[in-house]
Amino acid sequence: MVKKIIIRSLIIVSIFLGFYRVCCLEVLNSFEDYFKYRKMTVEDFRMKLNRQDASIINEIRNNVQPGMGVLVLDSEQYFISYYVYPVKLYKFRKGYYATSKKQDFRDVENKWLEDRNIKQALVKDDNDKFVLKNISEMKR
Amino acid sequence: MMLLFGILSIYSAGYTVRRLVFYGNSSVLSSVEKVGLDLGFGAGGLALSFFYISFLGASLSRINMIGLALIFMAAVVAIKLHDLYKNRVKRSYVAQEGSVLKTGWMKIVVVVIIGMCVAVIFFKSLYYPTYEWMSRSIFGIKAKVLYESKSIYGKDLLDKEFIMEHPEYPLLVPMLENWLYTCRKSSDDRYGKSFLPFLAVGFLCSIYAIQRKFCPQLHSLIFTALYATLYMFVYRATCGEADAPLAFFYFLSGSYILLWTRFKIYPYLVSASIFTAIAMFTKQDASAFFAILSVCLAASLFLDEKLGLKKKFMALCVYIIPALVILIPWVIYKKLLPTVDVFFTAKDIFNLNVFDTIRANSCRIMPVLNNFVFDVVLKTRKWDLFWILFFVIQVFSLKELFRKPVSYLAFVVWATLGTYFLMFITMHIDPAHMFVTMDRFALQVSGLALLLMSLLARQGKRAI
Repeated sequence: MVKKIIIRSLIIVSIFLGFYRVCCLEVLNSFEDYFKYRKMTVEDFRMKLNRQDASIINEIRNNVQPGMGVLVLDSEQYFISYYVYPVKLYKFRKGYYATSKKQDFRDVENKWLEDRNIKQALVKDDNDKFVLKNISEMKR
Repeated sequence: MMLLFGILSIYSAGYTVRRLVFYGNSSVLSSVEKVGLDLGFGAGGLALSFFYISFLGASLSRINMIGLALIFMAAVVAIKLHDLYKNRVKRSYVAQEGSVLKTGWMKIVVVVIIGMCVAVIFFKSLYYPTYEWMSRSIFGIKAKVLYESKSIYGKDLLDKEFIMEHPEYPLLVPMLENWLYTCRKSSDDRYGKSFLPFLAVGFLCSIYAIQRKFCPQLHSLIFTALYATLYMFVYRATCGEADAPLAFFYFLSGSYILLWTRFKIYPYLVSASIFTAIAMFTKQDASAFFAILSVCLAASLFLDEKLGLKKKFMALCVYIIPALVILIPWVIYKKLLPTVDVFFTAKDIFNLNVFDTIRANSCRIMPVLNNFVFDVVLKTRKWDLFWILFFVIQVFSLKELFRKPVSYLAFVVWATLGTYFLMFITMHIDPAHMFVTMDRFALQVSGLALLLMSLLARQGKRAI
């Protein structure tokens, strides 16, 4: 009898906790996200959440010649990713660990950049917007 | 509209495969079980079909893919016409019992809870883009390459630097995402992963239907609700990773072997074999599951005194051979794929002297156990009381644990957990990676763990 009560209590508490977490907190968080980002486009929303960044792709489409590569760097010039036009997403392995183990693009060998025909970089400025810069000037 | 067509074709493929597998035996299936089977067979069947045509050199163009989907839809129409002509639609006692929901306020409350969780799964799947890193880097990016290159031989798929996270992983999720991209003519990853909530529905239907073979309706519903309200399940079922689909297919494989050991109906065993193949085409972890299920089935056959040697051998062949045959093209293709250095390969496992490695890595045992206990079992924010309940029910039902058929299920679940444990100790996986993967591994076996809990909770009442 005691066993039955313990098991039933655990099941009921588990379902209650899960229901609260899934159907209340998660939905509220999702709505919060929605209202926070409702004025943004889908691309901005993704960017804000550090998702696939279509706005970067637009920048590349507008500024980078076909066959040329471009680095995408944060405001401190650490890697986010790199792209080669036409839009092929590459994610630098170290970029994944950007929050804990950032990689400074200036440490990358020139040969690596030359092999991928990368001569430009999109760098985030202080206003959180990407600006196109020449790597040769940045490396100096 | 085309998205609905894409989802409908998954269901059609599943319906066709299910009717073929259960030809002449469909009366053993309840309506809810059929939904689960159709979605499971459909996701795997359609993804494998696309893979096969590309493997044979055909382009994964819109016309080819839609043509293949139309063949499955035509097959559904043909089967329905055949049913009408032969008037073979019969319903057994089991089927009627499973499909009719007798009312009662408690049942209604539980069904509403499950329904709300399913609604959240749909909402999160369709509202969010592919937000999880792994779902993008392993599966999402491959789907986009398939969409652009229209072939599994696209040079980016074979480029180690491009597909840097697990280039050797199977293609079920990318194939289905590519299918939905092709239907919509755009690679918006929100719609790409819109098949996932349907798989989650299939999973919950299967969990309920398998329990119903052994347990009463309310009991089955409550344990299904227990699973539906798991945050880890909802999170992984919506983010675009392969772990929730893998959990679904592993659950179906394990539970249909369980049903075969109980009812000795061969379509159950064929289904288990097909789902094991689909699981292996979903994520490579399933190779270990295949080994575990084969050993468990062999042990179960060995202990079965009623079956003759010939039948035992045949049963083992019926499980192992179809799974291997289905996967031959994938095994051939996989040789073209690069491997990554940081993780182990199947070759490493066979080269490994396990006992020496365990001795050498004994210092890892406590961190691995700590990680499991504190980040899975006691992590109520992610797992509620699921794993605590798992241990409590087993401690309270130690005697029942060794009775058939629960003993088979307990062996499968514990062997899977033991395999993870061994893997973390023997392989070169850094602690940070272990921290990330423990939850996902726990999810993969959670469906079978739930079934074990449900049967144990019921076994005291001699339902089996």
